[in-house]
Amino acid sequence: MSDDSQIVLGIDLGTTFSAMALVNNHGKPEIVPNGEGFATTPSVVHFYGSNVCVVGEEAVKMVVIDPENVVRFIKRHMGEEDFTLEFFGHSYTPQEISALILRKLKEDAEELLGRPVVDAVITVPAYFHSAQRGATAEAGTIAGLNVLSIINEPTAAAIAYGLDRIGGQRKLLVLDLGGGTFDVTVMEIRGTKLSTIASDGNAELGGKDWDDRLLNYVAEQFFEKYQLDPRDDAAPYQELYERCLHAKICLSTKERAVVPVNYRGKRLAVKVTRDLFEQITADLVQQCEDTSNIVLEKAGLTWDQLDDVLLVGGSTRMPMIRRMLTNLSGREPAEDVNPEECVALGASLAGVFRHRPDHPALREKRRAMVDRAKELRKPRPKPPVEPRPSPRGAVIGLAYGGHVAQDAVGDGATGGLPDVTIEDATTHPLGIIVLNKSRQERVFELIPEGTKLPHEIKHQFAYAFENMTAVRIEVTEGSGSFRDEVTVIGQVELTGLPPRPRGTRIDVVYSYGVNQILKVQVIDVETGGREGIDIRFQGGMTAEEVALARGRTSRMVVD
Amino acid sequence: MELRDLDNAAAFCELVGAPHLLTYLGLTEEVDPAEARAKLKSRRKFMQGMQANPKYRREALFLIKHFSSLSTVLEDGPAYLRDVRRRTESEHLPVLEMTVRGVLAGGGLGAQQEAYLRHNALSLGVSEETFREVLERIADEMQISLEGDPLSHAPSSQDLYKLLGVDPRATPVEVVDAYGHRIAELQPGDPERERLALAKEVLSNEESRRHYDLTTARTGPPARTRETVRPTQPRLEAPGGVSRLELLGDPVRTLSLRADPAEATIQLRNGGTGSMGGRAEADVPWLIVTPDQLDPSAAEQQILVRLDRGALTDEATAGVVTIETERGERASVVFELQRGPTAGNVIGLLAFMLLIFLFVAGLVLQM
Ligand SMILES: Nc1ncnc2c1ncn2[C@@H]1O[C@H](COP(=O)(O)OP(=O)(O)OP(=O)(O)O)[C@@H](O)[C@H]1O
Ligand SMILES: [Mg+2]
Repeated sequence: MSDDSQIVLGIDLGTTFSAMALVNNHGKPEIVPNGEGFATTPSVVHFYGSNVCVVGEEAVKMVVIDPENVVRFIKRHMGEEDFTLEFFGHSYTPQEISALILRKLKEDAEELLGRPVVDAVITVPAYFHSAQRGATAEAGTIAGLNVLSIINEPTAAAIAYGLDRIGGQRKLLVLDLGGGTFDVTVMEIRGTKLSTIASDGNAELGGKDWDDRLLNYVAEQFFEKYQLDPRDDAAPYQELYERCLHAKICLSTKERAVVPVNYRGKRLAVKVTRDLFEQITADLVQQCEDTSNIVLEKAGLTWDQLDDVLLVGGSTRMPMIRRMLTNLSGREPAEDVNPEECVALGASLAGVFRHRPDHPALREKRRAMVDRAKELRKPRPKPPVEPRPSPRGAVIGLAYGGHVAQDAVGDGATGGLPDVTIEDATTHPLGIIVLNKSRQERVFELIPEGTKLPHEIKHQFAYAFENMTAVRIEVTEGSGSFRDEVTVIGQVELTGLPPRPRGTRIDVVYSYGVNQILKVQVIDVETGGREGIDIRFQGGMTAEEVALARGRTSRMVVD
Repeated sequence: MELRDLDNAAAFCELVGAPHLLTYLGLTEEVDPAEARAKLKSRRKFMQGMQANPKYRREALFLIKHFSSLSTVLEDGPAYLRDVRRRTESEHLPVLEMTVRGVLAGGGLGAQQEAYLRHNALSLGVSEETFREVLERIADEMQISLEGDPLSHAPSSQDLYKLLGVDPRATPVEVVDAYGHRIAELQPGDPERERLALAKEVLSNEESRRHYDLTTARTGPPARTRETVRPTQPRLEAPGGVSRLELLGDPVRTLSLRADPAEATIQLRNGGTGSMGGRAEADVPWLIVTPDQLDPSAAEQQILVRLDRGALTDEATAGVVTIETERGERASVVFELQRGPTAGNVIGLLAFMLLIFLFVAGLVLQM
């Protein structure tokens, strides 16, 4: 990697595991291992003193002896107001805790590369709403990263998967069941354009819920025998949780597993078969199935119109999920995807496509294409049958599993990266609060769910009352017609207007960029006066709070 | 301490099934605030390790998110506990308020009326303090003085039915109609309009009208002949059915000192299908109730109420016999003493009223 300024770290900030990746100069995305040498880092933080913490595997180990000072699953609380945790007299927001995880990743990457890493693209579940996206961006800032954009996890997965299928036209479904979130997305690859067609999900459904079912089952068995519940004490609970997690993973490959319980001097080995595990989680699988059908319906497709089905997220290793999707789609899910790594890989690629038009790999590709065009113009009977020897990594393929696609780029040129356009789509409608004809407040939808980004819309509204001298635009997110069904995410005011009659025209422009920034403009049609704001989706912290948190956590020792 | 803090504390206690925060923390009501808050803090710390625990997740998240609210309410224990009590009462407050309004619409409040209102408020679990508060607030709203000579509060001419000029058996539609006619006769701004509106409001709503009827003894045909007390919502019957207490005969009786023996019977009927156990009790020592237990299997039964002259004091004017079933239904009968036809007693008679708060909760099971 010769060019420092071109580095964009792709980060998959997961509920249970996080991963990071970089695109090398030849256009190949590569996982950046953490300081311990692993491809993924547990998203777990242990505070062991005032302003000292450890992130990752070490923190996981401490959970059974110091449960009060270990944080897991913080992603489930991103964007929640009022949620703070306290450790050694300091309180931390979800953003700050996530920032500690991000900082560990950033510093490990810097250590490995021997140079600073600042720019990053961070992924979020497609179904995250604006506060959660905002909080994720804030976490990045607090960690000292320059967050170039936030992209959807399924989009990132599809980029990683679809890169060697660029050029054709295909529709793919990405089912992402991770540790804490669930998303189903239908994407389309058309030429070099990759776009989201429909998406739905549940930000509160993931592997953790399967763990909990098993945990509850085991605890109940134990209780039946001894009238003691290991969930009642923090450390025994954590220990049991770890054991259930382990048993769950075993059950993905084995038919049976045993969960040993040792609580208050009583011991019991609870046997669990895969059948039983599938029975006690059947409704969770059903939820996944229902959402998948809904998304397909939203996309206006039937299962046989799909070209590929992708499984992303560690929890899709459970046979019940694979079976459910195979039954639905009538085809085997794609094999060449590493469910834990493809999101980070895709994020690093997205960083290049979106933010690094001069990345060496893109230049290389353009050069190769020009060369090839020249070559084709030469009157030559036949191109050489033997493929040109290409430098390592120059063939675009997937970085995982050693899989390399043979000359997969549709135009036949090898080397570098093609200029791929990524089109994300909104997963929640955006609107404005207006008065209807009978002067009742209603939400007027301006950007519907599923709108491809970037997107701009202009709509004309009129004064509701005589002699108004100010106009207030309240920007809403979510579906519903009433104020209390949606969230107001920002507002713009146009003030100091000359009093004019009812019906005076006002234009409102919403432009929603790929950067999770919504620009809102109010234009007075008659006078041409205008006012605008950028609504950068906020996760609940003000810019000052973010800066303060950044200062505060930067002095923390993270190891 | 803000309302939101108290709301949060109430929601939290409901979530964890504790009567209030101090019981949740295993503390007594007299605990020092600093100690209570320290206990809450250590509980929060413990819950931080439990937030992913499916069994404690909701409790842990609530405690973490609303910790400052919960901690704030513990700063002032007595105020918090008052609020807890008020919230328990508030279920019954709408009924009490409506009744008070109806009685005060008569123009004032006699000592007897007040005593019975209070008696029933207390039996609903509404504290004396809250009762006074409600009474004073409503009197204030209606610009009625609670002090002074009860004679000037003779309610007879201010009967809400008479005010609207309707028969006590009038249907709600007739009530509204009558209101429309009466109001049309009045000039805008006439203070009478407000009273008419109140009369219409009380009498056109089935529940408030029932309470008004039962609270206000009026001259003329008693409204209860129109009424059989019925739950307004369908009942969820327990297997084998539930009982329903019905009181037959006049709920206001006179016991004449001159009669010998001075006694009266209360006729009860079980209008439901289940057995009706329960008891009968007088609130004064000079009324003897026999039997004091209900016969659970009887469809109809009598309770004999006898005057015990030996226990009678000079000040005694009236007593109440309350019948309460095991399901919590109640009916009361007022026994007024007649010592001789004095002016005071005539007024007293008019002022007498009866409250039968059939516990709505008892009648409508688990809605
Ligand atoms: N072999 C397996 N069988 C069953 N579950 C597994 C297996 N391997 C991993 N998991 C589960 O997958 C989850 C982790 O997956 P992944 O790393 O994709 O999630 P994440 O990115 O942390 O979460 P999210 O994407 O929801 O934020 C955990 O719940 C883990 O228990
Ligand atoms: Mg993930």
